[in-house]
Amino acid sequence: MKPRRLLYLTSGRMDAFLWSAGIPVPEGSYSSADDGLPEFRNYLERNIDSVFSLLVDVAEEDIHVETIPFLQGADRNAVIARKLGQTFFSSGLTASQSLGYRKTERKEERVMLFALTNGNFLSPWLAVLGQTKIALSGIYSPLLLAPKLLKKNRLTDENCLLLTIQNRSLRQIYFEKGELRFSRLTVIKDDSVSGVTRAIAEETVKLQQYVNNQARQYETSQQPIAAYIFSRKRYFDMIREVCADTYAIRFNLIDIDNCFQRAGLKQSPPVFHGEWIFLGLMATSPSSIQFATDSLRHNHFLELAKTTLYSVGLTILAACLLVSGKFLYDRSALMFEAQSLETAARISRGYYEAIIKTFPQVPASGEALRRVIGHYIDLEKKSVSPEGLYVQISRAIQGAPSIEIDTIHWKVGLTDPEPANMTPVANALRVPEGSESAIVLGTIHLGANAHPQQVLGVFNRFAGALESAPKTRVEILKRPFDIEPEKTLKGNEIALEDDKPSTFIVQILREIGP
Amino acid sequence: MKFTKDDFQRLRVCLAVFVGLILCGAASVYLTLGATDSAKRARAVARAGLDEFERKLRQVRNEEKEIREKAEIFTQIQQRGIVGEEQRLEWVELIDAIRTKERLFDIEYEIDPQRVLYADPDGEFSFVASLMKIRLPLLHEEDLTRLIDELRRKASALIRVRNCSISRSRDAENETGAVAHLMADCRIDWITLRRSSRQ
Repeated sequence: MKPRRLLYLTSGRMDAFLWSAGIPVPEGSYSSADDGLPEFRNYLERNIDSVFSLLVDVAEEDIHVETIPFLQGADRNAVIARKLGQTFFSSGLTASQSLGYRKTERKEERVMLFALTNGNFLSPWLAVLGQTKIALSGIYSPLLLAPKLLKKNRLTDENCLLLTIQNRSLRQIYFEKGELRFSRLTVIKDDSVSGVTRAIAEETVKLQQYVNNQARQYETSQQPIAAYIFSRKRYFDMIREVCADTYAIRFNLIDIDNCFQRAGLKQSPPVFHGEWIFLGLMATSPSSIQFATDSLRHNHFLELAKTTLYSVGLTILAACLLVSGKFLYDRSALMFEAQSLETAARISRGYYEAIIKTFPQVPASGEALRRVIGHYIDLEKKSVSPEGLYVQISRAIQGAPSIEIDTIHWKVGLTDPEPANMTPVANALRVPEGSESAIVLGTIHLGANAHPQQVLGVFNRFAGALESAPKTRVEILKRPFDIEPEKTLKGNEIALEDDKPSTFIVQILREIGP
Repeated sequence: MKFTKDDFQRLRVCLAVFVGLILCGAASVYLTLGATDSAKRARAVARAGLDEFERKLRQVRNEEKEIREKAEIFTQIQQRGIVGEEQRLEWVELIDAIRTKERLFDIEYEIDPQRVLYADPDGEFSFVASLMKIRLPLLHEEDLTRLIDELRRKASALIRVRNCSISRSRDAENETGAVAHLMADCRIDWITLRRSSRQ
């Protein structure tokens, strides 16, 4: 943070202060008469790294209210510059403030124009300020800072007069409805307390008369003026004796010690003069309106740019470090969690391995053992012998001596492809996995006198006996005679001539398992 | 206010510091973000490890009885010779021994090349099968079932009969002069459990 320095210019001299711990600390005083300017230059060069603010407290100050057409941007600035030139001629230091818009036939803006009119007096000081390339934040006057003083002291009177006593001078600033009207600096010849008090009373009456004249001139109503005198508390009684209230003027006394605090001073200054109030306001809450040109403030803008860059950079860095801190905290928490999980995993692994050690030693992991033996058991369950179906067929033909079995094609249903194995009977059913099948080819011998119904009866009993076993399905692939409605029945096929045997084919399907 | 070239010269150090500060901030965020990501990955790995062992532990506790039984079965089939390389010579000798003991007719057979029947997903073990085409005359169908039963009981492989056809025949005659009435034609898988070569 760059050190802050305050400059106070009066008609006689330039005083320099260091703003330290909320109080202006005097550093030097430079006369405008003799060799003050070179010394002031040296002072500035010694403190080139500081940010300066200048308070100009001179009588040659003027304000003027103008009305300009509603404009914006460069056009507005050009019009205001022209108005400033027309109003104040060659004054080097000017400023303007918008007072708002007025809706008449066309929209217009009211602008207050300010100027420090004694250019010859100011120019040597300004030249030194410009040449030394110091960072000048602004040039202010008590007039520009007065609205802040009004606000800080919460003064809301319609017609308000502020009276501050400087070194051998009295500053009067007059407001109407919160709007600046004029300011006047009067030299006080007798700077004793009684002399100052008399000067206050006389000047206030003069001002009131002036205001009344103005009101008569513009045919407006005359309002009583509330005059606020900033003074030490111990002089209040003396002031009240001299400054008595009238219909036109009501005197109010404000303790200057409290006012210093409201102006931002952390402690009372060595002298109880009004300029300290304005110095405090300039340091803590400067007005947005000021007199310095952009060229005078160029170095200040550079300093602002530097400060902004440093501030933004540091803010970004701080934000990044904050985010990084959050990430590091998260990382720490995550690593702690990971370590806890690893510890828990080691414990689980220990338990797991302890249990596994109690198992019979096999050259396979638990998972592989489960899968492999599971598959082995599955294979074993499906590895059946044809004996079961052979026994079932034997039982079925026990009651049918006329049936003779010629061939039995037994097979088991498997998922893996059967290499080069053809189905022995064309219309046989596919054997599903988990089932076994036996295709039985046989003949029925009942002799020449047998009736076809007898042959079919024997066959049907045989088929029924086969199907009586549980989980068994019998599919007749060929009957002794094709008596199905959807097939052709020929006479010579059903004739039982010459003891010709009747052939049949049946398929038995049975689920494997208990 | 307008900035001149000279102003930029005066701001040069400040701009460099500004860029440096931003770079430092970005680097710190980048590095710590990377560290956080790696910590997240480490936690995920640790979580996966814990989940795996907890699952295994739950499983082993729940299936302790089953695993013990399966380990016992594994030991049994290992002792029987089902685990390991095929012992085709032993199979031939076994068939011959059964034929002699059961007084069977001459048995014709042919064993196909070994094929993989099922490979364990871990690649630790695989079931392999060799298909035997067997043809033998039978005096009675029980000759076939006795042969199959003996093979299932004594072979150093899991015997899976795929199909068998029995049909009438009167051609063959054995050494005792008995005439075969039936002819059997079967296909049998000799299944063994082989440890994978990459283990």
